[in-house]
Formats: sequence, C-alpha cells, structure tokens
Amino acid sequence: MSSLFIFGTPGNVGGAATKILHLVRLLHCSFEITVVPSHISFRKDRKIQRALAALNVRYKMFNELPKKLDGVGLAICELHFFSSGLAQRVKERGLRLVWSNEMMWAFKGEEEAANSGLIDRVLWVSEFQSRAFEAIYAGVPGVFTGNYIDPDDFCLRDRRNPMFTIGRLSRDDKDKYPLNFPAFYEELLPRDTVFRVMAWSSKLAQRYRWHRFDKRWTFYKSDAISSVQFLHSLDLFVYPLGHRVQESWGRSVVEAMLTGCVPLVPSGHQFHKLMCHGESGFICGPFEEWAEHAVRLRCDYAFRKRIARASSEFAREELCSPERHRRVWENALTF
Amino acid sequence: MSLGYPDYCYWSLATGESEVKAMTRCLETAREAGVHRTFHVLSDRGIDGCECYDAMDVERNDGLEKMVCLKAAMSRLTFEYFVWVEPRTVFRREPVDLCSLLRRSPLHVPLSLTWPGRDLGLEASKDEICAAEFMSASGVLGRPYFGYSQFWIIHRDAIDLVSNTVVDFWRRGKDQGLRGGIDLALAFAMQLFCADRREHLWERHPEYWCPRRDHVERTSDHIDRAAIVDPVEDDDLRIT
Repeated sequence: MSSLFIFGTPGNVGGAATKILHLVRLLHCSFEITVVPSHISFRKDRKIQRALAALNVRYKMFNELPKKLDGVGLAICELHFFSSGLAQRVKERGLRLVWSNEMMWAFKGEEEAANSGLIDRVLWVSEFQSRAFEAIYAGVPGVFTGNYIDPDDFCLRDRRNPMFTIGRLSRDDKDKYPLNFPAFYEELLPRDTVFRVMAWSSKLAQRYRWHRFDKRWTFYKSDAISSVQFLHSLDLFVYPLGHRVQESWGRSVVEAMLTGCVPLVPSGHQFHKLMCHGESGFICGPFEEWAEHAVRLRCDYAFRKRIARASSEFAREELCSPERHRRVWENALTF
Repeated sequence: MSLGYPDYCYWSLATGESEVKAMTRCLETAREAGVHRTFHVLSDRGIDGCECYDAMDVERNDGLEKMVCLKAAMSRLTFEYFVWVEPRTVFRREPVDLCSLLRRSPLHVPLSLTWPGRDLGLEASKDEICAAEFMSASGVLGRPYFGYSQFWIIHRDAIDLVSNTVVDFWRRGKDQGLRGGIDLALAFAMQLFCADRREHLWERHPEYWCPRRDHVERTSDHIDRAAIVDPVEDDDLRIT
C-alpha cells in the first residue's frame, strides 16, 4: 500500500475536520495513512485518537516525521498551510502535494504556491468552486472529488415534532447568515413554529441584537450535541445564506438530507447538484417561494415524508456512496 | 420599549433658509395633528420646538449624508427607533403604532414596484433596468423593488450594519455610473433586511405615509388616508 499523509485535524465539529475523519474511514484500507494534525492540542483529543487507532491509522506531528518521505501529502482546508511554509517543507521531504481548499476564496499564499508549481494536484468539491479558482489554477491538474460524508453517521429517521421545528447547522461565519435571518425564520411559517440553530455564537448574537429572540428559539454551541442528534430534531432544514457568500458544496445540507430532514436552500449556488428541486429538496428564490414550500411541507405530512425519504436516498446513493467515493479518491491520490 | 427609554423619535437634516422654514412647518403640522414625539434635527441654526444639533457643514452627497448623520449623530441618542422625515414633510394625523411597519425587520423603507415616477404600464427606462440588474447582482433574490428615502425607520442596534450595507451599495453603484442615489441604496438594504418584501411596499400601508405626487399616481384618497405626507402642492398641507 502506498503512503498517504493527511495534513489537517480530524474531528466531529466543522466541515474540514469531519471530512478528514470520514476520509480516513473511507481510505484506511486503500492507503497506509498518517494523520498530521496542525495543532499540538490534538494530543488531548482522546476520542478521535481512539477512532484513528481503531482503524490502524497513526498520527504524528510534522516535526516527528522522518526527514525523507515517500508518498502523497493531502492537505485539506488548512488556513496557514501555505503562509506558514509547511507546504514547502512537505514538498522538500519528498511528498507529492495534493491540495483541497473547500472554500470559495484563496488562502494566504495559495496563489503563489499554485503559480510556483508547489501543488501537484488540486481537488475540487464542485464545478462552481473550480470556476472561482480558474485564474489561479491554470495549468495545475485538477480532479473533482466532491465531498465525502460517511452515510452511516447520519441515519434516516422519520420525524414529526409536536411543535413544528425548523433549523440550521453551519459555522458561525456571519456571511453564512442572511442579514434578515431572524425575520426570515419567524415570518416563514405560522407563529406556533419553533427554531433551532446549531453552532451559534456570541458573534452572531451581537450581529442580530436588534431582534428579540423569544422562547421559540433554541441555540446550541457547535459541540453542544452531535450533528445527527440535532438534525433528527428538525422537521425542515432551512438554509438561507448571506448575500455575499457562495457555498462551494454544502456539507450540512447533505448531512440533513441523509437523516431525512428536508432541505430548503437558496438559488444561485450549486445546490442543484445536490438535490432535485421538488423531489429531494427545494431550491428557492425570493422569500415567497421559501414560504410557499415551507407551508406545504408543514401542512402535508405525507408529502414531507415522501420528500424526506427521497432526499435521504438521493444523498446516500448519489452523493455519499462509499464505493463510488473510494474509487474517485484512490484515483485522485495516486500518481 | 423594554429598556425604559422612549420608543422612537423623528429626525431630519435641515440647513439653509428654505429647509429650516420647511422643518418649522413640518413641526407645526405635527403638533397640530397631535404628534408629540420629539424632533431631532441637524441644522445650522436653532429651530423652535426641535432638538437641534450642529450639522457641522455636513456635505450633501446625493442623499448619503443621511447615513453619515445617522451613524455619527443619531446613534448617540438612546431611542430604540429613529424615524427619518424630510423637512418638507406634512403630518396630517398621529400615526398609530408606527413601528409596526417594521414587522420583524430592523428597517422600514417604503418600497415601490417600479422606479419612482414610472407607471406600471410604461416601459422601464435604461436607468431602471441597470439599477434592477445591479441589485440582482448584489444579492436581491427575485425581481428587485425600488423605494423612497423621504421616510424610513431604523432600529438603533442595526445602525452600523444598515449604514455599511447602504454606503457600500451606494459607492459600488456610483462607480458603475448608476443613478438612483440614496433611494436605491436604501431600497436595496430594505430588501436584504426584511423577509417578505411585499409587506414593505408603501401601498400596503397607505394609512402611514404617502410619497410625492410626481413619484406615484397618487389620488386624493391616498392623501386623505395617510398620516404623513411628502407634499408637492399647497393643498397637500391641509390638516384634517
């Protein structure tokens, strides 16, 4: 088996961390994997260490690695990977460098790294994302890998809350939340609807301090409960985005779909690649479209259940198939 | 409301003889109509009955000065909401529950389906088409609406966020040679800060405010129903 060094910190919170953990699970039989965490604090995360050990995957800090390495180095969404000089040192030790950005904007030093030939291959989560980086990555070989989510972590569950519940899960990036967020949620459905938001923070609370959040709202910090537990508690996953943000993929949307939580998402991104409008989710334009779909889904349980099952099945079969992803990733990480 | 300070005040900017005279008249109509809220005015002189602050030679800049004054001066006051009125405004009666116009938004700007002054039946001008395209490209979902800057309400805790949004749009628009000024920038912000835009169309709430006759096909019924009027003719000044 060839060696794969994954630069980044696996975990259960946050898109990149979760992606690394799920990739390790997917690929541990295909490669001899070494995880290289970006921060020493990883040594305290016994839970994730045990998860890696169970897969026979070791972890080492970069300075613990041999001076000469053979294989592939995969870096995923590491903020300081280029600016810290780590990318350069990875190459100097002999690894082929594969980079996956995940975002819609370049990290500090990324453009220079792409121009100087430091990156041997770039991975894209979507065509939407690759188009945004066209100018930077001209001449660098690229592979579309999408985004892998272990479907076993997000089991399908029928749900029918006594109080109709809508919510969302996304990191506390203020650009991910629309300026009208509380008004949007509260005006979407009748008053006897409750709202749950996960990965909320004081930064967001400060931004929306003009709004009086009443007892219908429940906010969770990012690690308060597991993602799957949170998603099981929602009837609808309602995901309006800020007017400046462009979503490269939409990990939490697919997680919601896997659990059978029907997603309502904005048009103008690339969600049409993740769902079929009206069959496995809803892609909405102006507010009145969101309200129309939300009201119907609330009132018609049979309809909602049918969409929920179709949504879960589509995510499981088309977006998160382990067999399909394994082939794609083995190809992407082999030179 | 909950913090124990007054809910809202009216505010404006009035410099020079004619604006000060109009502001004086505005206050008179308000008092005659039974409106007893305070009027806070940035001015270059004192105005009887108004709380006046030094306008500090604020530069008139296609309406952007309203946002400058809001952020620099009004935000220091402890009202929960600030209601902008043009100095020429006429009060015809006291508006009941004025802040209900906000619904759940921190901002209310009266919106319009078309560029102010264009009837629905007429073809859109090049300016209107460019403005609509620019609003769409800037993040408005669905067909963009237009709006008026002669009367609007803002929550004090949203002043920074709204001002930044308005100023950013205004500047980018100016760079693109866009016409529409502060009316357009406020309409853009309104559409980002509210949920259902239709609820902020001025015609949805004719009992509160009525725009100028040269901006809309306005009937005497509109004037009779509105508590606050943006007038152009003397008969609009009639108090009921």
